[in-house]
Amino acid sequence: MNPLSTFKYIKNNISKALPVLISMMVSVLLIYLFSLVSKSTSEMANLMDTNLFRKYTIVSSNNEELIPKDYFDKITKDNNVGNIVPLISEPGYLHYNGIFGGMSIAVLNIYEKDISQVITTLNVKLTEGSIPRLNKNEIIIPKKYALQNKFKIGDYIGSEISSSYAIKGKFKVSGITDGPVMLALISSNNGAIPRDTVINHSILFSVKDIKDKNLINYLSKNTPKNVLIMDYYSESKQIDKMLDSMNALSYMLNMIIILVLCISLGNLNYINFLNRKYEFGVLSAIGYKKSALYFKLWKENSTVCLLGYIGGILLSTLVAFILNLTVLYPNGKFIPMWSISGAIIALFIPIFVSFLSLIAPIKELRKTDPLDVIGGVI
Amino acid sequence: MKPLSALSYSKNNKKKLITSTISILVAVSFLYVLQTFVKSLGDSMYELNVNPYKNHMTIQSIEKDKPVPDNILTMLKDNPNVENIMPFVAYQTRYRIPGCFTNASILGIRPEDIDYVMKKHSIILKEGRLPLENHKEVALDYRVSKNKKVKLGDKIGNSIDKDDTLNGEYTVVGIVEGNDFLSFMPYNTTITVANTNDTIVVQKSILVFPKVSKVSEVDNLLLSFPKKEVAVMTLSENIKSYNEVASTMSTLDMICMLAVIVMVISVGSSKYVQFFSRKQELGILNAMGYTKKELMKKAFWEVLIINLLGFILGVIFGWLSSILINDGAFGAIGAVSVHFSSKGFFMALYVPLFTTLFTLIPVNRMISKLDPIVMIEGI
Amino acid sequence: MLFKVENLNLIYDMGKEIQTYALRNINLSLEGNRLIGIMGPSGSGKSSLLYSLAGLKIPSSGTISYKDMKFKELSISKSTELRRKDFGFIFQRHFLIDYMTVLDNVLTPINDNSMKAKEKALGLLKKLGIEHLAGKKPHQLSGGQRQKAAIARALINDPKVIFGDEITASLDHSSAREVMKLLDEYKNNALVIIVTHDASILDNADDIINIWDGAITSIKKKGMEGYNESAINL
Repeated sequence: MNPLSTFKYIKNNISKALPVLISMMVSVLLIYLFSLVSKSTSEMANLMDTNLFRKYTIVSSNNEELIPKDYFDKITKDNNVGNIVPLISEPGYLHYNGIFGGMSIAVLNIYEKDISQVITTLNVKLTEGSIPRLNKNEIIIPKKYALQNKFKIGDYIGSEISSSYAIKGKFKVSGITDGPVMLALISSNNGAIPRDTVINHSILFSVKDIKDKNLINYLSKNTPKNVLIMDYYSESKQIDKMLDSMNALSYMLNMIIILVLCISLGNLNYINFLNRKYEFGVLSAIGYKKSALYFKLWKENSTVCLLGYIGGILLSTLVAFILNLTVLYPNGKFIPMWSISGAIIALFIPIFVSFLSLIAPIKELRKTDPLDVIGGVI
Repeated sequence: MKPLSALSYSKNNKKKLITSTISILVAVSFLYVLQTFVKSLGDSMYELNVNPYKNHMTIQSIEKDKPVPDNILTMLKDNPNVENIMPFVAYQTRYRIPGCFTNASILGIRPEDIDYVMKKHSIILKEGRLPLENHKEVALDYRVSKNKKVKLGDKIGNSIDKDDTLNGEYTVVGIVEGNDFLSFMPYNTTITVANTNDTIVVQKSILVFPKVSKVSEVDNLLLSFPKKEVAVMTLSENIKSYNEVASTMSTLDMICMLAVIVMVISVGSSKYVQFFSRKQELGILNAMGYTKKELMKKAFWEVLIINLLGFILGVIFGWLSSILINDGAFGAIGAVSVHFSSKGFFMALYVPLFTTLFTLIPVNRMISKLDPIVMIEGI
Repeated sequence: MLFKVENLNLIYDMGKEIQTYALRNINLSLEGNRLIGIMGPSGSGKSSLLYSLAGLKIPSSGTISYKDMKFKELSISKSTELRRKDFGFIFQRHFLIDYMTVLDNVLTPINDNSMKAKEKALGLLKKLGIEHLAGKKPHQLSGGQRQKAAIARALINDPKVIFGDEITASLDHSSAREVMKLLDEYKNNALVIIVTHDASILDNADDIINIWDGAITSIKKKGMEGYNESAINL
């Protein structure tokens, strides 16, 4: 190592670099962990909402009137439409506690013979038990929900068990599913409504290519008054709106941390620099240009900040791993171990701090006259 | 001012005082604003979801086509703690609060019952009129109308706004004012034929009004009814589900604590290093005859002044910011905007408290190890 | 007897193979209000003796008593209090606190900002010829002016003993004479002990202790032959 190299400085001044390193590490831990938590929330929102609509679009009438025939024909005749499943009703939802608040798992009521096709299209697997039988008050629930509420096959859910359930009646858990969509399904047609009637009133239709917006654009533009559409684009827009406030909090937190760090580490760096004034004065006197000295100062500062950043990312990953293993997975929750956007947002901290916290020391270095230093005035 | 007093030090080191104070001010105000924001969210949810149940409770038949069993109705009518029961229809309409989707209740009430219901909930008609029977009309709570940005004559429902949880299309004919976020529609006895997208099924439901100060008795009565036959919503159940949701706010508390730790470490480190650079000064004072206890006292007061100043200014700034932010995010959309939060105050207090501790512990160690001779001889 | 030193030894690197005697077998009695000089070359132990007498250095063996109080029997806080009340220090480097004005620096030992104290401080600064710099900060002063401010600081609490360590090292000749003239006045009210290697400033000293290699080689009284010779010549 060259005598004036950055690593030599850090190696010989660990006690001075440590406060900056630790501050940086803990700040990055906070921001990155928060971004992992945010990512978990948005992934849960996908699991519970948008992923369903990547594969299926729901079209239904909001009153006794049927879906107008021409509108309905447009759907059935479109090439981008796969299977069409009649939707008997949407009897409620199941409440799931996410990391950042409660979420709703949709409960759909469809005919028993359509259930296998639906879960296959959604890439959801029945990991335990069996699909619900028609009119037997049975329900299949997602694995994470089952874990959170400690449900197993044979347990009961519904308002008859507790009024905290937003689904009326009493349903026996007949199966547990796992996959990219968290959805609960029942098969209940006590009114014996014919399939043809239901299919003209409310349907789920599978979409072959979600990027092909032709049908959706038509359906959205020409929607009859009594028809409701729930498609991928409108649902993801809603979810984005909900996640907006979390993103806003993340940016605000980031900015506050950067501000606090810039001021306090700036202070710290200034004091550390004052103790090295003699060193820099001498270097300047023996022939190092001021620009080289500014660069040396910045390199040392940014290296410490970067090391803190790396330490913070590693520590966050470790914390996420431990949290997942001990607390979250057993309760049907999770935090992802990695988030590129989170890492980039957290990177702003060492970048800004390494520059801004050097303003005061560099100002001081600029007005340092090497003669004053070597002449013993300072 | 005595030359060695903390005030004298502050006066002579204004720049250091300002930079240290700003760090603490920012940390304190951020934590305070965050807590008031969260409280605004929580209080809005509480008023929206729990408040209505302070004056009424509901009971619905489990089975779609069947009304509430007669024996249950009789028990309610005969109960001395129940003041009144009446049929109603439960509707909901989307109510937007930052960070979550929730719904406000709309009660479908018969014309002969509406005055009673409004009186019990201390609701008055502010503008327009009440909805007429058999008309697709609604009288909205003023905060709900603010949230939806609608006025008299406008329409609401998922035929107008896709995201609304209210099926169909209803004209706003009146604006009501009360504490319970309740709106009113005409009473309808429509039973669903095929399916609907309602999350609350439109069927015969009963509103139960307890007598004054008999709320818990009626609460217990409703909870005692067989769950196979009826689904009840009481005040205690509502508070329970609200608390379950509110418990997830602990994630935000964890974030706050982490933020406190970050700020304490960074601000505390810079304060400690500042003292470290004054080792010579402290050593010479010790040589001159100031005891280590006196030096520690001096350090304590200097650190305290900065932290106290930062805290006070931070709380003031935080309070002002929370007025601005929460009024904009919540007040403007008809939700509850909180400006004062004791939890926010105490959480923000952690910053100066732990920063003082984090600074003084190593400073104390440094002072106790101080050897004036080392300073004098420049070793 | 103001100071009594018995069999004083100050050893560095005790317990190691090579031990360094900063002071060896010092026996001394100092009393009265007088000016005492301690002379010797660099590394002879003169500053060690000075700071041992001040209670700042703890001897490896032997005793030092001040007014019949043995330093080793005093608690740390008691000996610190003693320094504050009875002693005044003029160090080799000025050690002024750089964020304080000259006036505040002078008032530091008594930590008093009353009018009476300020007047006293200004009086001292006037005697040293730097009254006009009372409101300035140390970095605005020359080296000599800083040292004069440090001298004023040492005198503000009317010390009974004044310890000076190479106090004229950073002063020009005429300033050095001014300072020594002032200390000469103080010797009527206090015991002034000055460490120096410059014999010329000790013209008015009552006693000169010559020290060499940690041991006292001679103590000359005023008027004695060889009084003002440097220890090296002995």
